[in-house]
Amino acid sequence: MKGIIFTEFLEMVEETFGLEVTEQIIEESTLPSEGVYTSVGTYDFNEMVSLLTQLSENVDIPANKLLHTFGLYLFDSLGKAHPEVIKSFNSPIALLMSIEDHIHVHVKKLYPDAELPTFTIVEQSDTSLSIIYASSRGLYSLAQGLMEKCFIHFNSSAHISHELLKEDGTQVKFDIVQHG
Amino acid sequence: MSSMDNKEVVLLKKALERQKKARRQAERILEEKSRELYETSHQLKETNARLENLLSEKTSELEGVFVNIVDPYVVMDLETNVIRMNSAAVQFLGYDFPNEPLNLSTLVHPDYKKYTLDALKQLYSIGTLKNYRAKIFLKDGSLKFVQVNSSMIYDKNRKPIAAQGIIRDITGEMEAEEQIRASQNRLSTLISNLQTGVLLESEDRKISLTNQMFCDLFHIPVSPDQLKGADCSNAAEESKHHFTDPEGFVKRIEKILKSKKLVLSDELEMKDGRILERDYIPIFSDGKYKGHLWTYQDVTLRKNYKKNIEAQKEKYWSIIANMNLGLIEVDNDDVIQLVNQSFCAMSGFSEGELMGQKASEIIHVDEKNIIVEKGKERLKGKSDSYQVKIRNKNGETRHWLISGAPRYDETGTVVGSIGIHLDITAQKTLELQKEELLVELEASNRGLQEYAHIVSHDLKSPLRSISALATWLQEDYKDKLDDAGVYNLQMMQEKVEGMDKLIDGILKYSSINSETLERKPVDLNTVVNDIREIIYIPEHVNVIIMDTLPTLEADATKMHQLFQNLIGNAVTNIDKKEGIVSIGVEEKDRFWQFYVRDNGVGIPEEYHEKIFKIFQSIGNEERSTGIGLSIVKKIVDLYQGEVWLESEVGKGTTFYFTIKK
Repeated sequence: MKGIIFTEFLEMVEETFGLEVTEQIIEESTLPSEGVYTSVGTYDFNEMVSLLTQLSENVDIPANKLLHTFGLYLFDSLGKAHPEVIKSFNSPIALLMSIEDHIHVHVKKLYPDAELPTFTIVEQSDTSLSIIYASSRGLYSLAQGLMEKCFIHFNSSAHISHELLKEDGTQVKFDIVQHG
Repeated sequence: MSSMDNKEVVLLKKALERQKKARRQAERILEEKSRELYETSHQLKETNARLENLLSEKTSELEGVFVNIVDPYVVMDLETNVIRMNSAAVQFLGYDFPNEPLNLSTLVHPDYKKYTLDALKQLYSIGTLKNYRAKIFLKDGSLKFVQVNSSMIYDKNRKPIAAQGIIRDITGEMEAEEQIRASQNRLSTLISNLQTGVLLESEDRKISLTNQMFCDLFHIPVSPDQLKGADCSNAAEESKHHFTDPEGFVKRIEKILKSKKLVLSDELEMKDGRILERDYIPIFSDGKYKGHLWTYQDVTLRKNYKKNIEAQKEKYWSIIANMNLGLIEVDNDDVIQLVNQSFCAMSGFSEGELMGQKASEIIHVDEKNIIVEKGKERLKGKSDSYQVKIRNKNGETRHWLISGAPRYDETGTVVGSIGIHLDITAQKTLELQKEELLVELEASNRGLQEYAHIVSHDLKSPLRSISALATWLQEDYKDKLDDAGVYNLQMMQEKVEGMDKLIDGILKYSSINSETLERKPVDLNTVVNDIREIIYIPEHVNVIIMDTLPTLEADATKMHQLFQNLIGNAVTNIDKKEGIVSIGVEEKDRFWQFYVRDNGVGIPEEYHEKIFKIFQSIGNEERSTGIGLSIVKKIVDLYQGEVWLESEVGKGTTFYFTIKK
């Protein structure tokens, strides 16, 4: 898993729950990386699972809820890191439709080893979109948070509902309807 | 510091430691990536270079391999079997390759077999073959001229495996070249046969072209071809001896060559008397001097022609001036342009008085219209002769015979007429005299005829009286007269009879003339038969018609007289026991030739002409008056015939006469 996910996750934990919680979940997770992450590195996905599990126990918030919150947070962080990507779109739907063909292509240029989820568009109109998320990680809540924050970024809002196509969340269908 | 503070410091220290580690990790990762990137780019460069090598190798090996090119492209093996060809080649050659195997050498026209073999050898040994040109047969049998550029194809060990070539159809070009060649040939034939000596020099004064005429003009003993390339820089000096002004010739050439300007019709006099005309034509191509052309023409004849004409004119003029015929030239308005000495003498005017005057005004012609009419004829280009009566300066009447002809200028337009005059006054006078004489003669002839009639009539009546008196004398004095008296009276009767015949003869003779001639068909057989009845023919004489005689358009009486006189003559002259008078005819082109032949006494040669004259008779035959043959002659003359005789004394006589058809 890309380093930026870890660094931004810990950033969010620190901002939201403080330095002590951050230190605690790092220590309790017994990580091979010892919690030392850099956005240009790549780290074992299990470290994220450990960190998320420890955080959930520590703050008593379900893991998916935390991932959703992290999604909202991560959109802004990625936007700050690569503002030109977001600027090239003029609507949230356009951005979402281009994840697979445009954004992930650019990600692969910088990080050829990145393991990216796939987003397959099954239906589309000017104001609605149906996307199937597929990833062995099953981090669909993170994806939902990112999508929601995307609409907010464009001063818009949408109702995003999801349907687990597989119980472990490795394949999820999102129905997105833009408001107004 | 509180424990809270301490705890926070520891946490921060730990966090800082993590951040430092993270930075070092990031730097390490970046260095690692950098190295990887370097290696990758290095590898890429290597691969690139290898690929480039590969590409250039391919390119050099497959030079001219243009499968997609428009021109026909063919790859063949070393036995000239086609391995590959593009669609353009398939279309051009007409062979359905690869379904139809094709060996290229089979396409080559027989004339190009050897050339092709040599070309292939060159291709195999050198590796390329440019501008191979040959005629080939296409599938449909048509013949094309093609140009092929080809090169060998080698395997990686540089071993030749095939050859490739691009075919270009140059049939059209070759035809055009052929045409150009043909026209060049025509041109050079033209130049070589030109009646002008031609010398073309290049800019460095080498002979590019010359012809036979040039060699002939300057007596150059080699062929024009051998002169090609010869240096002309000293030619003027070498050939100056041909000319009457050698130095002038050399100087002139130097001047011309220096100025390089067109020079036409330079005249050169040669020592052998010929005159040449020379043109100099500089040749410029794109404003650059490329050489020059000399042309020489022998104009000796042309030059001499004018001189000859002058000389001839002189010669003829002196003849004209001195001839005994008057010559006058007038223009279309009859104004005198030229007269000769004789004309002046004839007319009585001097040359000064005549020149510039109107001929018809100064010379007084009796019938002026004749001159006007003849003038019109001349304008039509007609020439003829006519007579005029004029009065000369002294007022004397003269007769002139004029031969007139139109005068032309060099364009063939009639500009006047020319007349040759002969003074025929003397002849004319004679002619007039003759005419007068004839008239007189006719009158006197007529008078003579009348006289003959009167005389014969007047003579006959005393004769009849004498005859009657003699008869009475004989009857009345029968008893008183002795034998001699009776004999004398008989003789007197006979003489009177003879006199009577003579007078008849004269009358007949004088009445024979053309005015009284009748023209009717006369069967001469009937005429002769009648005569046989009328005249006395003794028992021992036979008159025989040998050939059937013709029927002529003639006067019956005259024919009768003609034959009667000749037959009578013949019968009279028979002295033989058996007398034969034969009459025959022979038809000739323009006349009939008759004969009357006897076997009588014959006529001595000295009399042959005399006997046709009036009152001439030979012998003393009482019955002969001497007029008969004169009448024969006169009648034959009337029919524009001739009469003659062949005779041998003692054997007989043949009279011949002809009558015009």
